[in-house]
Amino acid sequence: MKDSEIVALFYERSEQAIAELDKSYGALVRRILSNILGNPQDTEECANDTYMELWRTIPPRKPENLGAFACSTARNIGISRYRANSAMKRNSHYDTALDELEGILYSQENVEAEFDAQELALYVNSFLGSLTYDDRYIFVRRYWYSDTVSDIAASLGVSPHAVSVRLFRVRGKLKKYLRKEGLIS
Amino acid sequence: MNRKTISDALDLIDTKYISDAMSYSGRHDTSALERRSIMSSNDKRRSIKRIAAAAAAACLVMGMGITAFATNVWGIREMFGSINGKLDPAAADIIETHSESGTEGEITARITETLCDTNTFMATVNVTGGENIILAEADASLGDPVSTLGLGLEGNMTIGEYAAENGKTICPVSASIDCADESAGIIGAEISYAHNAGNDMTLLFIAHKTESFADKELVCKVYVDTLGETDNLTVVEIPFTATESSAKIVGIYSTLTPNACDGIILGNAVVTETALGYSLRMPVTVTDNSAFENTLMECEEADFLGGLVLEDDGTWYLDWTRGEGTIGDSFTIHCTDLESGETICEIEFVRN
Repeated sequence: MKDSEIVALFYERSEQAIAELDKSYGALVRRILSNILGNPQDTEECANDTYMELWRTIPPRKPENLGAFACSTARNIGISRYRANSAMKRNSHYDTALDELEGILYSQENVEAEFDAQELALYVNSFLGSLTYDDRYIFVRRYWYSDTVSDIAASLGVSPHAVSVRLFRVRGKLKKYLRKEGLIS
Repeated sequence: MNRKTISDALDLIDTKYISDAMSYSGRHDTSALERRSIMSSNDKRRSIKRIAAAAAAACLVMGMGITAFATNVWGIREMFGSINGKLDPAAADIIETHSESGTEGEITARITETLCDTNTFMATVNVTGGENIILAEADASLGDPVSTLGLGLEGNMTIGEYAAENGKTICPVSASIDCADESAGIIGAEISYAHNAGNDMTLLFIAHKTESFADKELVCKVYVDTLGETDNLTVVEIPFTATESSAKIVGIYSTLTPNACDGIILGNAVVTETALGYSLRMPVTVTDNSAFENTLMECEEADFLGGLVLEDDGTWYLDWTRGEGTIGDSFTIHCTDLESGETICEIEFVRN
């Protein structure tokens, strides 16, 4: 079923909307949540919360890209659950991916100069726009979807090493870009 | 910048990038395209739209009489030069002129030049289509800004809006090189684009290969897709052959510390040289996969392209090409931890 038809079902308040949404994007939503939470029970609960949130927000929202909207909602819910659960150990794919980015963006000199996430996002979006499709795909899969290097490699049909090398270089480029823009020293 | 700021900023990544990455949209099931730019150790794939726009402006000034010249502006020298800097004169000397072409429906593709050595193959391919189409880069999407079309257009309009307003269809273009009866041995490829007009584009195809092209019947396949419509892929096939320039062996190099880097044992390296620079091939035995996957190898004396290739027999090879620099009686391989960015070790190789 097309996205527009699923959105139409939401507008009709038909529960079939959730079934169709799950059919189209359920696997991706659960994968994102699993990457963040690393726990099947939390993943399933947050998937249900995601559907509830979508049911609550559509209408009035009418997302142009239902898949991206569902994934964003799932990611936000997953991260909120993750942060709320203080007992959770830092061992999920989300943590590993975040560690990699933190490794290049953090330095003692930056402690005083805290940046607004929105400001950083503007630069990250601009940076992503300058990348090739493959580099952008790898970056977003790793740091937004929190996919493992092996999973990304499998989706591209290349070795995990090739993906690791590419990620290493893209992180280096990001650091250079943010340094040039004065966000990090 | 703390961890939460980074995470919050990632939450605000543009929806189109999230949507684009839902699944990999490598457009065609060919090894060259699936692997394009992944194997490159440097990011050499760049659009040359800026120069294309300048060329378009020059054509306007020169008028219609220059049309034939305009479609030949983009040879290997010009396109390679605009991306990588000037092509070495020795490499320029082995450029071969072609005139093979193919037509499918309203799409015509013509190979204009090739350059081939033992490890690298380059070709410029001119693609033209009907008046109602706009040829675009392989990863173009209707939501991209119109400026990305490379036609000197500016403004807030998207490609899709521009196409609708002008009654045009956006057609992403890509290409691959195959052999008639066997593998072409291409392990990585990159494509650069230059627009001569909306429906006239030149591609520079650069491939990293492990097999000889000498005496092979090759086929250049040009794929022209249609955005917004399904199952409307046009494939133009152009049979051709290419003259391969030979390589000079610089030497066989070995190290006294082959297992200095955790997870791998390095074998002897064979270094060759062609007009396109140095090539280096060396077997790598993997003893610890996680350590191996977390190691980046670079040569201090020369800047290479390429990477690690898994051969059919299960052996990994360091397969580097187009090396720029100077390799004499020795060279050093620098191993870096991909996660921390820290140096793991330096391994010296000496000519036997």
